[in-house]
Amino acid sequence: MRSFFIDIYYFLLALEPRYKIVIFMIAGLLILGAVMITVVLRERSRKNGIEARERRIKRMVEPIIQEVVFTEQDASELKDAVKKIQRAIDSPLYRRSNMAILNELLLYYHRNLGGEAFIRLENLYREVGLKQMTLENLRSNDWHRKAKAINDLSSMRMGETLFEVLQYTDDPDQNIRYEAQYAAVKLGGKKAMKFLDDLETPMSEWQQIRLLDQALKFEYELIDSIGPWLKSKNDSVVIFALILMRHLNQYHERSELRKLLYHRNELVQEKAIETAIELAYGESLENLYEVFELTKNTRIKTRILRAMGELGGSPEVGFLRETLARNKDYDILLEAARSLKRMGRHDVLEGYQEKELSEKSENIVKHVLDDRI
Amino acid sequence: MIEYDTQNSLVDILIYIFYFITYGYTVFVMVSYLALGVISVIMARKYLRRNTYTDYMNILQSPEAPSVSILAPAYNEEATIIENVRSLLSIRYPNYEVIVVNDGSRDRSLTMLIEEYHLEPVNFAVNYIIETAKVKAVYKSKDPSYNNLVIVDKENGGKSDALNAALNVSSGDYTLNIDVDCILEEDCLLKLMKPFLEETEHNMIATGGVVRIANNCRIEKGRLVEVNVPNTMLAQFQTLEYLRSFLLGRVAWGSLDGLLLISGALGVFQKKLVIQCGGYDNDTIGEDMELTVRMRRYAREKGIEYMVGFVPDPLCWTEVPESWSILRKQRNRWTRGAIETLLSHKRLFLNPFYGKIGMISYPYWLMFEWLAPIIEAMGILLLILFSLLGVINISFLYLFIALIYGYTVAFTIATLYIEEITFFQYKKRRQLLKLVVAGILEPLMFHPFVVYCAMTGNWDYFFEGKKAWGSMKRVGFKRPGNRGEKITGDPKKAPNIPVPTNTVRTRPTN
Repeated sequence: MRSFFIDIYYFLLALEPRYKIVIFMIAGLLILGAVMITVVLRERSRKNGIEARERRIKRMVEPIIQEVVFTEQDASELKDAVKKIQRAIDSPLYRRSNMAILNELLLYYHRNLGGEAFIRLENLYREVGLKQMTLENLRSNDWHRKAKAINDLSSMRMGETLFEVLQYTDDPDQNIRYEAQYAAVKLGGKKAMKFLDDLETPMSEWQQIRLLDQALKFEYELIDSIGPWLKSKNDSVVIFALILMRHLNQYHERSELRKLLYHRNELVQEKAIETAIELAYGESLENLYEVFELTKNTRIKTRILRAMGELGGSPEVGFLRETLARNKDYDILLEAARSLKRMGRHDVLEGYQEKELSEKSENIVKHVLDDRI
Repeated sequence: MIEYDTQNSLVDILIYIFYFITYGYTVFVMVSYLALGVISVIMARKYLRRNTYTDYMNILQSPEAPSVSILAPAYNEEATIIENVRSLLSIRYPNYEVIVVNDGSRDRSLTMLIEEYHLEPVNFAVNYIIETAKVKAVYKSKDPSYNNLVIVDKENGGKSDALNAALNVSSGDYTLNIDVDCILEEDCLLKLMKPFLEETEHNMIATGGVVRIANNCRIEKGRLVEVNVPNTMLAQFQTLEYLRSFLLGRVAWGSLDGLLLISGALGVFQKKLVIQCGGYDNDTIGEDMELTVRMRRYAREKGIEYMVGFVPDPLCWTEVPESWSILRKQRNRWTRGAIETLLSHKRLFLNPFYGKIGMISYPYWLMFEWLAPIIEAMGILLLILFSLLGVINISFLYLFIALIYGYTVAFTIATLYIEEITFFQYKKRRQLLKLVVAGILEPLMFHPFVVYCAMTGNWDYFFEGKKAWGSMKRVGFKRPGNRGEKITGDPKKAPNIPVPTNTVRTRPTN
């Protein structure tokens, strides 16, 4: 055997360098392949191990959690429960991983519970040391740990961490920033939305949707700061303020809408029109006529026509009727016809004289009058 | 052996050029695949880390969710259409409509839809913003629970034409274009829309998602409930190919904003831009790639700061051919589609005006997608010739081939490892071993066949003048007669449906 390897050694030694390189690369790849298969199998075993541990922890911990959450307990009973949980997750090697499993378990319960059970679960979260662990993660240098920590704190409604969370609402890292903004609104309510006053970074639509989801829980409280937000230099803040106005019926800043109809950003214009419709701001109609003439954006034009249908009266009927007869754009025609229908003016839609409408407009009228569509 | 005096001769120079092209090209391919693989792993991990705390419920309940139209062209799909439409209607998204276009089917597709969904023709004013074959009727359901379902019945015009007709009827701001026979994940639309809603600096014009293989998977009520590795070796090879392509290739290209192809099986597009570009091109067979390239080109030429995104999650499951002859036709078609698109947009080639797509993506596709099989086939032919003539060093050549083989296998195993640490779809040890065995055999059995198909595709395009869909018979795959039955893909048992012209499957090229 030894002589075999010696022969191979001398054989390799005698080869040209390019042969040597290729042979070593092949050997390297073979070893790499074998190592990777081993790693894959090990990874699988590791995953299985984690799953088994997760099952074991759940089996041990779940009855305790349920007892804490669903029954009235005094301080000593809670202390006992906490000790039992800590014993179940205690491990010299896997403590952190076990804590993470427990964290996910409590988050899961929290998502599916309400009322008194909610509060008990939050106390348990604090007592077993998960809050502490999450705060440590918050100080981590990894963006994903930080973002997850903020998310956990808000999910578990750790209100006392609000000031810590607020520090990150304008963080350079988008993931951390967005989580912090969301957590701020969730933990601090409308007062915590102050971060919008001087927010410089843009908010994505996704983030606006998330914040709105939280804001909808304010249940039509008056939000004083909407005025300054509508004047913000950050267009995403203006858009979000308009969305809030619309969904939370914030009438007090309605007059601002008229200015925003002329905003340089067409998306702001669009949202302003939608808000005017939702808040039934009929005074904006005269401005809408003007914007209709000024803009070349079909989308804005259709929104204006819709606003006329929602807010308008007889003068608007005339305008819509005229638009349906004169305009050539499909979307505009469709919206004009829909607005007339929305105003209950079937008589106008059905009362056009022969050849007054183009074939396209006629088809659109039929389309709009068909209630099945 | 014939003796040649190759000192400073023309043969000597030619052999050096040959060495340079063959070895240099191969090494370059290997390095570029490795680089793409590394980028993909980084991006997939980043995506997964973000997803650990992403709550899609926010958008699911939101009144502000943008509207999406799902466009599903159908041709002779009577075997599956009812279940597939039901699956589309149960997608989790707050604001969407499903538009199924019956593209002149010769079977009972439309009748079955009418019966199942209580459809009746309505006075729909079709906006012929893009020219299509005649729309015969538009149907809506009498049942209010299907009020987001629109069925368009039109004369046959091919897949592109059907998609254009659906575009004309659609009312959403975005369109999700799919193959009607694909199985979509329930939250696929939520995930595909996220990049559009998250982007603040650029205009996101399209996003694609990962397509996986459904052969032998268990499907119940239009939903995938159990992932399995296909039974046949051919489908297993394709499983690996798709994994490499989507998991490693497209995720990397997506993060580099260099994607040239959003698969026809699954892609969300900004409708406004699709219409401004003129919709799908009826004259091409690779309409998905052509549209993506055209949209990118258009956006660049109009000065739009745009992006094309990619979601690494497995969102769509499709069946792949389990017969060599169907596969050959499919690959032949893909090759012709890619050539057509590359040639019709040749202006992009190394044109700095088009940025990354001009300087990186287009040349990459040209060199490694279109020309790779040609270079490979030529290389092999010349190697055989040179070795017969005794002008090249055979032993080194064998070693080099062994190196390529080793690299391909190692790369496949690396792909399986990445799948393992990221999306982990194949959970049983046996499934993994099956794929490892397929990975070892694939370079010997599957790859030469793919090269052959690509060569015939080139031949058909340039010498036979085949530029249309041709008479590709869609034999179809065995679909579960009963819900929950496995898709086994036995072509012998499949119905022989005549002359379909409008189904394209996902191409898993990088």
